[in-house]
Order: sequence, then C-alpha cells, then structure tokens
Amino acid sequence: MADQELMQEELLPHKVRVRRFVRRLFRNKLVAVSLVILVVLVLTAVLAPWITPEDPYRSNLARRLQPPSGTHILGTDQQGRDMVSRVIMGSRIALYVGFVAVGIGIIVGGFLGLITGYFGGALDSVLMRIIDVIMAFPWLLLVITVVSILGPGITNAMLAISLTIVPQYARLIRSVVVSVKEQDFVQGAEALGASHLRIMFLHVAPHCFAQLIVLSTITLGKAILAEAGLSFLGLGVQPPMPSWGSMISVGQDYLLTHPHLSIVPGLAVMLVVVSLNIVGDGLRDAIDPKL
Amino acid sequence: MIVYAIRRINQAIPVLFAITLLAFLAFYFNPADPVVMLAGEQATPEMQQRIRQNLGLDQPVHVQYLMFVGRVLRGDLGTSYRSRQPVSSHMLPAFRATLLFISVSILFMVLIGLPAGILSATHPHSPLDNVVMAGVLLGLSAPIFWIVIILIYIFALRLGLFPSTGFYSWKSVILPALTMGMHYGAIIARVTRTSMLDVLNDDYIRTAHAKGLARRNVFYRHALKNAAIPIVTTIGLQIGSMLGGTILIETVFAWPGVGRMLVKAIVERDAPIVQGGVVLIASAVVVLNIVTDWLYAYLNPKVRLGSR
Repeated sequence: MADQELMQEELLPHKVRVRRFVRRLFRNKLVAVSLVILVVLVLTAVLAPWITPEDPYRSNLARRLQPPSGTHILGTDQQGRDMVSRVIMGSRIALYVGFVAVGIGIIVGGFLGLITGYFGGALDSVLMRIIDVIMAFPWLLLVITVVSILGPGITNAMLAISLTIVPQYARLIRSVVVSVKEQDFVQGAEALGASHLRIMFLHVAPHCFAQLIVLSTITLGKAILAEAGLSFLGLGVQPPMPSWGSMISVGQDYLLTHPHLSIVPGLAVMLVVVSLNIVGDGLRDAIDPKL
Repeated sequence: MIVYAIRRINQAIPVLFAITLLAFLAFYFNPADPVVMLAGEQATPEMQQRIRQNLGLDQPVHVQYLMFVGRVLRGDLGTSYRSRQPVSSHMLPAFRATLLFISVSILFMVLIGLPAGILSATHPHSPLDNVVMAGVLLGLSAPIFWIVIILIYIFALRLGLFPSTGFYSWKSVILPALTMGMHYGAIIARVTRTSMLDVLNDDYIRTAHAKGLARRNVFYRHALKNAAIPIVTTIGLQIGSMLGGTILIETVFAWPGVGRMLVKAIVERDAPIVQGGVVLIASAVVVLNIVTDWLYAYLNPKVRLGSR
C-alpha cells in the first residue's frame, strides 16, 4: 500500500509534492523549533560584527573574570573580554569553517561520485579503493595528522576536515548515480545524442539533491564538532580569534572558580549540533516517508 | 571461513601502505631539521654529516620512504627530538595507559549502550524510550571534551569523588572512561534499538508470543540473539573510532597515553613521536576492523559463504 502511495506521489505535480514535503517536515514540532534555531544562528553569524554588544577582541584586565551581571550577561573572560560578544563571534567562525568544509565535500566528493558512478571501470575501482583507505582512519587521527603536516590554522583545519568529508559525499553520490543511470530517461537522453557531461549534470545530478541535503545537515554538525575539537587541542583556529573550542580549552584553567567560561561555549556547540541532527533526521523522514 | 579471513587481511594492505605514507609525510614536511634537532646547534659539520647519513636524509625521497617502512617493520620508530630516547621506549608505557583507558571505556560503552537500547526497543514510543533517544541525541551532539570537563567540574572539583587529572589510582580512569562510554554508547543504544525493533516485527516473534512464551523469554532468547549481528559489528567499529576519541579525552585529562603524546608532539614539532603515534593508533584500528569483520562473517553465514 505504501508503495502504491509513493508511485502516485511521483506522478503529482512538483508544487504539490513540495507542499506535502513541507507539511510532513513541520508536522514534527521539534524539527520546526530546530529549524528556527538554525535560521537565527545563521543570521547571528552573518550579522555578528554588527550585533555583538562589545568588540570581542577588546581586552580590559581591570575587569577580568567577572561573573555574569547586568552589563556582561555572561560575564567576562580571563582577559576581561565580553563573553556574549565572543560567543556570538564564535558562531561566525564555527559556521564559516563548517560551510567551507562541507562545500568542498559537496563539490569534490560530488564530482568524484558522479564520474565514478557514471563511468565505472578502472577509474571507479581505483578511486573507491582510495576512499575506502581514507575512511578506514579514525577521522580525528586523520585530521590532526594532516594538520601536523600542513601546520595549525583555520585554513588548514578546514582543508583537513573536508578531507574526511569528501569520501562520504563521493560514496553517497556514486550509489545514487549507479541506480539512476540504468533508468529509461538516461538511455533516452543518450539515444537523443546528449553528451556525457550533459547527461551527468542535467539528468543524473538532480536525483542526488534530496540525499545531498540530508547528508549535508549531518556533516555540517560533524564539521562544527571537528573544528571545536581541533581548536580545543590548539591545532585549529588560533587566538585571539574566538573559536568555541579554544574558549572551552581556556576555560578549563579557571574551571573551579569560573565554570561558565567552559560551559557556555560548549552549550553553544551542542545547541547547533543537536538542531542540525534533528533537522537532518526530520528531512530524511519527510523525503522518505516509508521509514 | 579461512579463505575469507585471509582475503580480509589482504584488503588491509593498501590501508597499511597509506598509514606509513601519511606518517612519513608528517615527518618529511616537518619544518624542524632532524639533524639540528638530534645533534644540537653546536654539533660539528662532520657529526651533522654522520647523522644525516645514518638517518638516510641524503637519499632521494622515495628511498627515504622505503627505508622508513623497513625500519617500521623492524620495530624501529626512530629517536625523539625532545628526549633523545628511542620513540618505542616512549610508546610502550603510553600504549599500556591507553589500553587500560580504552578497556574501561569499552566496558562503560557496552554497559550504558546495550541496556538503554534494549529498554527503548522493548518499550517503543513510551516516555522511557523518549528519554533514552533524547540522551542518545545529546550524547552524539555534545563535544566529547566538553562532557568530560562538565563531569570533572561536578564529580572532581565540586564533590571531590574522583581525581580531576592524571593517572594515580583506579579511580582516575572512571571519569574519562565514563565520558567515552556515554558518547560511544549512544551509538550502540541507537543501533540496538533499531536492530531489535526490526527483529521484533518478524513472524517468528509473533509465533513465540502466540505460543505463550513469557515476554522476557521472547525478548532476550529470540529477539536479542537475532538482533546481535549489527550490534556486535557496531561495537567493533566504535572501538576503532574510540582510539581517535582518546586523543581529545587524554589531552583534557592529562592521561599519559598515546593520544596525549601525539598532540604534545605535534605542538612541540617532535616529528618522530608524531610518526610513531600515527602508525601505532592507525595500525591498531586496522587490526580491530579486521577482527570485527571476521566476527561479523562468523556470526553471519551470508557474508562468509555468499561473497566470492
């Protein structure tokens, strides 16, 4: 019965399908709340330089390590910098690293998945073997080894993180392409004389879209966690840039007397990643109602 | 089964190749000059030349790489820049500390993940299930190094029940291992729940219920046994990723293991130690994955007989 429903759904006009999808997505209140949180977060990150109550880099040792108060809602850190401003600025860095790493993953991994899935053969076997090898490493070990080769810093951290993301996209896109390319409309396009490039990008690639969105919400969360971890170890974003990870690390030194220095940025990371995971699960359920 | 076991070992060869390559690159691209690091600034040119030759640094890159692989195979990981001691003499005690830490973590992971997953699956969509699934979501989403800091704050600094850093007694291992158990146990709980729910929908479970078996019997005798295959595999794979996670937790906790040594060596640019740490952790993961696959094939005849 479910299959029948799905078959009919394929025949519905695009607009109706999108409307159904949105309704299914928002039926879950938790998903709706998480989406709102993410939208607010993206706005905060984009507008960060204009909405921070204070300059997140301005230190003032006269008011260091103040507890939360009216003027500084989350208190001040060990250099007397306003915590609210630093946490807001941290969202910009977390999302920047996350989006760039996932973007590289989509472009490079998507391209690799398209060509390996579409052409198959020796190229496919070799590239997939390499990808298996990369995926056999624990991701954190891979990331910090790459950072140790390239040197610490925000750019190298992004590159290292994207290296662990690329294989996931390559595999996903390849599996979709392999199943799509046998279908009639691809053979039809071939018969009409369409070039490989045209078929790959116009006829096959759009079928990967739904899965791509789901994977991207999940990997964005992982990338943000990875950046926090690297910066926590001192191998990612370098001071004085306010990364959530390095803020947690600094706060560790003042844990007994000023626990909020570590707790607040950690809560920020968790809020973002939880929201991303909930939205990712919600999207998957809405796209594929069978599950 | 034996054919499968051997084939699986062969599959690991390219991975081992990649590990040595990555470790070699970590050494090769290190900006510190190994000769200066080992001989000191005041060494005579002759002495520097001798060290350069001993290390094979006057050879072309590919020869250097092959020499490195040869040394690794003989168990020689070089000399630390900092301590001037053989890397293996640092590695052994660190590996022992990590092994202890990982073992207790695995125990916590299974003790937390398995019962949580079973409870969830046997009471689907109940408040209990919702609480467990919320816990799973939080466990997977919170940064693991942050969870351990929170636990240190509560149980070590506020309540004084456990030491806050280092490795002094059996109590030291509890907090870091509990953190690992919570994070990696979350995945076990999720897989256990899904796998049990899958099985509970099968016909033979309905038959077992119908012939009047006690619920407890149906769950543990019939369902859990058949749900075990994906659970066992996930546990194996999780132990592999745990070896990566130790890097963070050991650093927070100043645990004298391989992960902390690796991070310290990267910061201090002590390339031979970085190299040794990467080879050691990555090889351990490869071995674990092989054992997991063997176990999987042993439990699941489809794999061992079905694949060519």
